[in-house]
Amino acid sequence: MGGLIEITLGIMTAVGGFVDISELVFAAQAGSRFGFALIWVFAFSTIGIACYGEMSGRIAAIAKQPVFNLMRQRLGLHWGFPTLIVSSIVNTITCAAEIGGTALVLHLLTGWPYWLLAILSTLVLVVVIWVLPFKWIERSFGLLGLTMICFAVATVQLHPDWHAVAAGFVPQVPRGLPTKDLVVFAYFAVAIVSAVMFPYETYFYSSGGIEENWKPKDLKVNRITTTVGFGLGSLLAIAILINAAILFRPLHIDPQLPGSAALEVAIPFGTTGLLLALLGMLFAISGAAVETGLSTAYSISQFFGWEWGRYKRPHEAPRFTIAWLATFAAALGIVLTGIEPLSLVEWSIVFSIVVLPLTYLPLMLIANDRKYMGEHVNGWLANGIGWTFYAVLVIAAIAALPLYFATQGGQA
Amino acid sequence: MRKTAAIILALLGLSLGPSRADELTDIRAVRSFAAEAAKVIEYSNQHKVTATYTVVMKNQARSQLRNTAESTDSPRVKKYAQQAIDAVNANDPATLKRIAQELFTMEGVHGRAD
Repeated sequence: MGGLIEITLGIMTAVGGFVDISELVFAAQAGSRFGFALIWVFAFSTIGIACYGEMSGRIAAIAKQPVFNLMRQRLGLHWGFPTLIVSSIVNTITCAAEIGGTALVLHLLTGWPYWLLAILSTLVLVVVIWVLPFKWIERSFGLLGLTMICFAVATVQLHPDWHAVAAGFVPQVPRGLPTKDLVVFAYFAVAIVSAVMFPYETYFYSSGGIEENWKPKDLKVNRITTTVGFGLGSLLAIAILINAAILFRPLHIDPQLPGSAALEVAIPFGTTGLLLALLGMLFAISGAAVETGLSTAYSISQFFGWEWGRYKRPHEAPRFTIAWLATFAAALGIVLTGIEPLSLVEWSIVFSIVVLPLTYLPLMLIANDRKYMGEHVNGWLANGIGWTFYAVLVIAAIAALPLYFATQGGQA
Repeated sequence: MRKTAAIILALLGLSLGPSRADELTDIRAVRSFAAEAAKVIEYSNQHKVTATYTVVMKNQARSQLRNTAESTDSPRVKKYAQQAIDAVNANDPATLKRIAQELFTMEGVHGRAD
């Protein structure tokens, strides 16, 4: 019974914590711009994050190693240090985008000044991390984020053409697009892969496994959470895309702000729908802010071998504590410069994809190393999916910057 | 160390952002903000969204339209952006919809994918 509850909570937390500001923005824009044609990219990337998430959780349970320990061991200082620098920059920018998004949603709910809400929400997040143990932090934001299910309910209410939706799951490039739009399509595909497979998700997930002292008996929960939980979470992102294709596309709206996405639920359900959508977005985005802030501190502390973890009191891991406090301070500083959250989302998406191959290579190597993993090394399926996605990520990493410039960040 | 410096330089280059938008990009932006504002005002009139949401979304649409009007080199985009701002101020969804439709037609074959 206890195991079933644990699995259910794990799945619910994974579902509620799946969508963040980048998925929200890119799913809505993808639906509005290309109809259902990019659904398959969400589905495809979800297989990738489920595979790497499972692997990182398994390594945490068996080898007791978090991602950045592995990175230093396997890549050495030569590649490990640049990866640490870039991923810390990426995480901080992503954290800024999430704080900006949180403030924007609160601004839509209260009308208070954006800058004041950015400061207040950062303070609240810092207090929450300081006071709550890891499990509570993960579970509370994940479970509250389940309010995002209202987007899926809206999809059902909007009665889409389900055959057309199903056809969207088949890999495709829309026919008859001019070359310029084909390039934009490619940019969106790369951006969605990056948004779904953000590196901070693996840092946070595997560090969480160690925080919660996972053991081999937890491998089942790990497998179900990453496959079922991430899979259902991805359906929420796909629901946002479908709603945008049905509601925004015919009206010539390319939603540029998180606030526009809330209209997807307001249109079928009125004010109640709007408030539910905004609350769901608030919990999902602020949960992602917590994850990105902590991920930076996890990465730095693990790389340098410092004491780390929220299972310790803040003064028992002082450098870890300073690292996550500094990340939130830097992220808030970025938000207060007045850079729009959407720009931050775009930068974090493009930077992330560049870091992804370096993040996942050590995972693949350790997951195949019997010395660390014993009988729990990768099987043929994990290796097949893992290396296929690795090749995709390398190609996407090479293409990301040229596509970003060629499409003016997808706006061309 | 050289690798780190190269990566940071690449990131700094990226942070400068892509080259300035062309006219088509500006047309798309004004079209979308006008259509978005039209929908928000329409739903506000039907009491389907909160008053605070309406005020914030209208402010954001106005601000984005003003930014586009200031940064564009295209006189016709400037004209449409100003008309859209006036329509937002006047709570006039019909005019906003007309502007969005005209701009969508102007995008022509380079409009959105079908």
